[in-house]
Amino acid sequence: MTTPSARETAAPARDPGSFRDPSGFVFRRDGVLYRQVNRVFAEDWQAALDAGLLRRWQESGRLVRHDVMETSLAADPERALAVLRPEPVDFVSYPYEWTFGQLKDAALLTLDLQEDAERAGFTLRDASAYNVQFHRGRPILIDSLSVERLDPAEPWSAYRQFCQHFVAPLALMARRDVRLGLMLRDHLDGIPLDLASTLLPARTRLSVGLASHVHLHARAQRRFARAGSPSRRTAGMGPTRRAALLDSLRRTVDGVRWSPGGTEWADYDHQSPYSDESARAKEATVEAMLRDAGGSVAWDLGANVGRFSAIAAGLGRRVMAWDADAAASDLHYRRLKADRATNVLPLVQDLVNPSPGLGWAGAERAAFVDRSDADVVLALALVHHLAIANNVPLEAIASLLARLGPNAIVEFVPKDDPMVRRLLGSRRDVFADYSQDGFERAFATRFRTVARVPIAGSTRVLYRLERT
Amino acid sequence: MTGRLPPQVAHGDDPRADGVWRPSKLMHLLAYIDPGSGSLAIQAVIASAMVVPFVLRSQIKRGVSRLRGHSPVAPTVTTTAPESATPPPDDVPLAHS
Repeated sequence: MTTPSARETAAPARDPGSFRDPSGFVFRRDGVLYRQVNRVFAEDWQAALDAGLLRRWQESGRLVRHDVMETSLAADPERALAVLRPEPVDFVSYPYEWTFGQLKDAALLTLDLQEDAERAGFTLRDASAYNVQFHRGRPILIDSLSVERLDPAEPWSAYRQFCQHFVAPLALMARRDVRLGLMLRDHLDGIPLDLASTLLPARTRLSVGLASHVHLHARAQRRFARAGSPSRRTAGMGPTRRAALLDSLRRTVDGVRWSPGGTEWADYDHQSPYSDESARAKEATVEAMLRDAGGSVAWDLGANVGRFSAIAAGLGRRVMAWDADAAASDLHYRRLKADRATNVLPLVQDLVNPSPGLGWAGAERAAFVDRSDADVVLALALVHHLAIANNVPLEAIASLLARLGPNAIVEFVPKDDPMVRRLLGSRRDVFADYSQDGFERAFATRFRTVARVPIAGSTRVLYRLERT
Repeated sequence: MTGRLPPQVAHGDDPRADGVWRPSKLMHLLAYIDPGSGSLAIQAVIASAMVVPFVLRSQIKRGVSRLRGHSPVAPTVTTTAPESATPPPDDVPLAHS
């Protein structure tokens, strides 16, 4: 193994979101991501290696792969037992940006791993949704230090966390309103169970799983918070009880179902304003512009169910497909999953109020705008929604797109288009600057126009723009 | 890396020796999330309540498998993770190799 020694490299920068676990942490050196394993974790780490557990999970694509590096690269050498270089995941996303199906798949992965760990005499030390990322279209555990040896008599210490990070938000999304997934933004350690219990419909008390893992669980938390002591007489867990608990959690997660559809955007493909001729012309132009823009990563803003994301993916781009509509994004995710597509990641994001920096010092979870690695940004049939439905000035839209990537493909939809007429139908037109000239003037502050192509059969225009 | 494992819980550390659950020394050392006292207590209650239907279901599954001439299934739940789409390349050293 040939690696640069620590002396030859820049000072390490600890990941601002990796400070809670005493067994190790993530840091960067020269832009490369590493994970330090601390000595305090030596026995559990060695036991997991000896059992082949991590290798098995890596081989089945359920744990991120890593190389073992020289310990001289450690960020905190006095505490270091080992240094790993994890394979970088496609993109770091957060549970409050996931669709219902993604959160459910992450929950099922966590249960799979816990069941597998228990069979091998181990257990997951935590069950945080932030330990899971979507990589090549699938959920994957990214925390290699999540396992410890199992004491069969002990309860699962991550049970509360699993219920708060997965069971409660899934139940709220499925049984109350899918938009409640956004509550995870305010509650980084999962949705408090007393709050979930209050918000869930009364009929969920008739579901054995939700009654147990949310309602009864919340009640027990309240009771023991008042008692203030863990000195509760309990039966020991044992392997059968542990298996029964996991089986119950799996049945509960499996049982919460939600069907996307019925929203304006999930059905957009069926209500498209384009004629067949216009749709084909638009697709061909977008494809040509994508080829011309080059790069390897495309961000599709307002991706809907991924019609144009698929074109970018077909050209070999890795695509982040963002949409504010949870139903459209989930439908997109389900289609990709069925097709086993690996290079498109749909995520829920409202551009008018995007994910901010969150957690300790506002730095544990990075803001949407700070995570962009896009070579080209697609904003197709999007600008009129931002400008007219949300009163965002065209200059501000240009500024955001320029911040996200060096190239942009933007569709301008004029006021005489039926969709814009619809947006203006119920309000006063206060958008004097919203015109093709106004659009070009606003975007000229940030971009150079490389190509301008009218879409055949419509009054819409596609722009291929390059950041100045 | 070397290191022998100590017994998981020494006899003197039996968390339930007096019938009262207390976290073991092992748990104190490595647990960094708060499991919540109410959560610890209720999961034992829920797990106990789920044992009977769980064992019954497992036995029914085994019985059905036997009738169909299949080998008995394990009583634990099955995993749903799909097979790995990309097997590990031979030249990538893993942590334990």
